[in-house]
Amino acid sequence: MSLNPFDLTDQTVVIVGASSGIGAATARLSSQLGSHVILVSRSMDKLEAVRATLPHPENARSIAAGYLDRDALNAAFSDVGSIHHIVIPAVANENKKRGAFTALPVDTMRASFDKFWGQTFVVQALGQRIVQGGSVTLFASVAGLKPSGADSGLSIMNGVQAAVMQTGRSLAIELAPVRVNVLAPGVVLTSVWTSEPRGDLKSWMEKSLPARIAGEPEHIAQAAVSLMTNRYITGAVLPVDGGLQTT
Amino acid sequence: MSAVTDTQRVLILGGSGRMGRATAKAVIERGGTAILVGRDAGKLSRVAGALGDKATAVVADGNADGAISNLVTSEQPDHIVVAVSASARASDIPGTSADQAKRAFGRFWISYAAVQAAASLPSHGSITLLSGSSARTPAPGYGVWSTLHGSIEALARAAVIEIAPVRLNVVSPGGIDMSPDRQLVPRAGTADDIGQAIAALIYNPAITGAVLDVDSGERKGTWSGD
Repeated sequence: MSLNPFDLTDQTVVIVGASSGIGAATARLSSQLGSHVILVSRSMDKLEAVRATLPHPENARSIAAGYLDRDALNAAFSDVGSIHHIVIPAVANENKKRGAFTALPVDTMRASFDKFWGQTFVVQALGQRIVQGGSVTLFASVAGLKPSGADSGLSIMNGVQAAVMQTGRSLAIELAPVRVNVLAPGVVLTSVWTSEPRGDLKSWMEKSLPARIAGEPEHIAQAAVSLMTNRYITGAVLPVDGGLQTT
Repeated sequence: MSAVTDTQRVLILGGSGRMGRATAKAVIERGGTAILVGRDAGKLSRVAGALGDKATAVVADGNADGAISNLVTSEQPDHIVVAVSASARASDIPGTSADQAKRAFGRFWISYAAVQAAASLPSHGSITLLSGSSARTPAPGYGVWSTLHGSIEALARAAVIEIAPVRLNVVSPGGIDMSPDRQLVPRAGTADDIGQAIAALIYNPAITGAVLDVDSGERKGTWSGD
């Protein structure tokens, strides 16, 4: 038995949104720690490209499915047995949901909740396969704890983050003994942020955040593994934001 | 996290207690050095000896003026963990005299002195405090401890922006080695669970200002198992 308290040997970890960014980083770390990784996103090509970069690609498989169709998710997992952990860092184009509140189209506001529904559907479709001691890690944002600024255009999206947090804490109660926790990242240098013309985010973070560090997908992956592997953590909300919420 | 090793030095106040020892195990597993600090020389050297050559013991009283700052100067740690336990009798607020409560608050003042000392850690450094689940889920009979745990979280909230870029986090443990009647998962919490959570915060350079509940969703019942 490994003495490493973050060990994942022979545990099955399902990562929904594994084709890039935080999901791909979580897949790499989980693979390194000995787990069987199941990579999930819409694009089989992208998943297979990530799988090839894993420390143990032979101990991983890819399943192409979108997280907004619960029945399709169920069908896609029909030949998967029990699983230990589910991690859901999938993003639903959050920055495309930005806009001044007074002018936000109804469709955009409704689509903001894709992030909430997608995670909910994953847990409904797959939660019953989780073994004793297993866990679900949902993804909100630190903006669910502290709203972003007046010009961020994220007033609705911030509400979605808070909804994910409170539903996560509720599911920790309802689905126990399955553990359910919520990660609340701050700004992370992934394509979600860096594809947008948002100035030099990296130098802003290194200058302004209390931890003086730019958030990287690996930081979030490390926190996700910490929550997965600690059998005494459930119902927790963990900010991983360089201290953004304290500023 | 597994293949990653680092040789950072972690100063653990309350190093011979069960939380301190569990933290030291997690640090050593990662390749680091644990510097155990406590007042009881015999107990400290027994614990350090059992942990192997990556653990060293330093006898000191964290309550003494300047003691923790001196340790930072002499031991050159990268990180500090405050895992001291209170040797005080305290219970509910109406039934606990101010003098008794002040003794329980010795843990707050050691945390305060440690945060002050942490301000002079290297910029990649961190300090981790321990509060307790009663900080935000009070139970009758534990009012003094609830207040103590809440005060440690308030200290952290205020200090995190004052000691930046040194990171400051809090682990809030639930009942440890007790019958899990307040927990969502029917499994007693262990000191190793707390040690793992402390390591998770020490080694993640993007986490500061966090309070991590390690209490299995503790929320109801009694601590006595009745």
